[in-house]
Amino acid sequence: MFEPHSHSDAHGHHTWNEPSKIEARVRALESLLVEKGVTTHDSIDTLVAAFENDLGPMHGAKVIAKAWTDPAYRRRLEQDGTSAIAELGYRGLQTEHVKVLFNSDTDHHVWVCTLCSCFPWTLLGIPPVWFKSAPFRAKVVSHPRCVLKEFGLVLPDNVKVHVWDTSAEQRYLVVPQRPAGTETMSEEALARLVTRDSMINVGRALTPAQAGGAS
Amino acid sequence: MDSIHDVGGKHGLGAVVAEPDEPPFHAPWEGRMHGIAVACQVHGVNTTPEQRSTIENMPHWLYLTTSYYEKWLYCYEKILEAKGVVTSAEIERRIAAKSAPPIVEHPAMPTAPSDAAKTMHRVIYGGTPHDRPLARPPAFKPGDPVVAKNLHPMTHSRLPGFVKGKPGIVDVYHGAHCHHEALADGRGEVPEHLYAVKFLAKDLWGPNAERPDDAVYVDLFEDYLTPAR
Repeated sequence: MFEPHSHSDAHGHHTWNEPSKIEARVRALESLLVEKGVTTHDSIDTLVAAFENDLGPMHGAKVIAKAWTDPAYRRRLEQDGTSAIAELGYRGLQTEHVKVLFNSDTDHHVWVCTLCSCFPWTLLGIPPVWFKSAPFRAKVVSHPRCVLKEFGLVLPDNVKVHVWDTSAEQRYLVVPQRPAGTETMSEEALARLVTRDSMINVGRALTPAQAGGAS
Repeated sequence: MDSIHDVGGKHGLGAVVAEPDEPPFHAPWEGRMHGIAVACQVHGVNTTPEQRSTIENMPHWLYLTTSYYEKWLYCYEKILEAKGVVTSAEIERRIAAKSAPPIVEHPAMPTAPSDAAKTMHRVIYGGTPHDRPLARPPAFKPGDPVVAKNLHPMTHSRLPGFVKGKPGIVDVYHGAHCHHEALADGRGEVPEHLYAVKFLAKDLWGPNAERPDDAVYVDLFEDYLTPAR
């Protein structure tokens, strides 16, 4: 068993704890921190409940749908993403500074955190494992077209690819292209077409048919 | 530091595997671990850059073979022991005694929150902005040609290896933000100007670039940059 404080790093044959042991360890750590007055159980409940029941891509989707339908709002998003996003009530942890990128038929924007896992939690929730894992972080900067193809997006040669590495506390959000045939849809219905992946921009926004009658 | 976390541009790490309908947390302990990490920061035990720095000091083999929240557990055991908050021996004793209360699965938002829970709620929904005033004017403006410095400190850095020594163009000025290196080293809030610098694929990857004129933009603090000659 791997022992975090008594191990020798030179011994590469150690393996990490089995999940049940990890659970016991986290449980012990939480109870000790509560006893020592660092935190409370309901404080941790608050964070888990926020991420499991509220924070997620449905918030980012509202920003995108408004950008699609309200040209004045889109201009404000271009000028100051953080403030325009805050107009909708969103300014939270890991979402304090946001630059919004606008996809077009000639420019494809995609973002990554090559050094760790930086992500706009308020707008998109907890990052998916693929976003936090080494393969995506390694490859998307040197071979973005190859990675996008793995996600099913094949870009024509005339499209330039722009990869943004969120290496400080500045976060990014992509406004994907509005799907065709959605001209008469309401902002609320449009928001249901916007996926987490389309705001990282490894995938397109859904068509109304793909979204299953969102119109 | 030049560690395994700095993976940008590395080859041979395998395919990108996306999980359909992925939950925020794959097991209740992952959510608790996330909560513990933010709670420690809210309480002033450590900063986010200290967390990142501790993970970057993991042995390479361990970094590559542990899950995301296993890294966080490793990290917080290290930090809490180093700061004298919780020792490894205390954790072992607590596990042996089987006296810790069970993990609450999928808790509801507390209806009568404690003061600590109210603070947690305020931080989650209000954020902790990182921009700070800085009297010294920015040295660069969008359009300026720059070169990323060739720096290899043994301590925490946010200068990715794949841009070191490479020429770029300042694309965006983000304002002055708390420098991560100072926060990681316990030197507190030291504002520094921050820019998104545009690097062309041909300058980063040479003839192996997928398309020479594709671009990578990296957020870099001013002290990572020199003017291009």
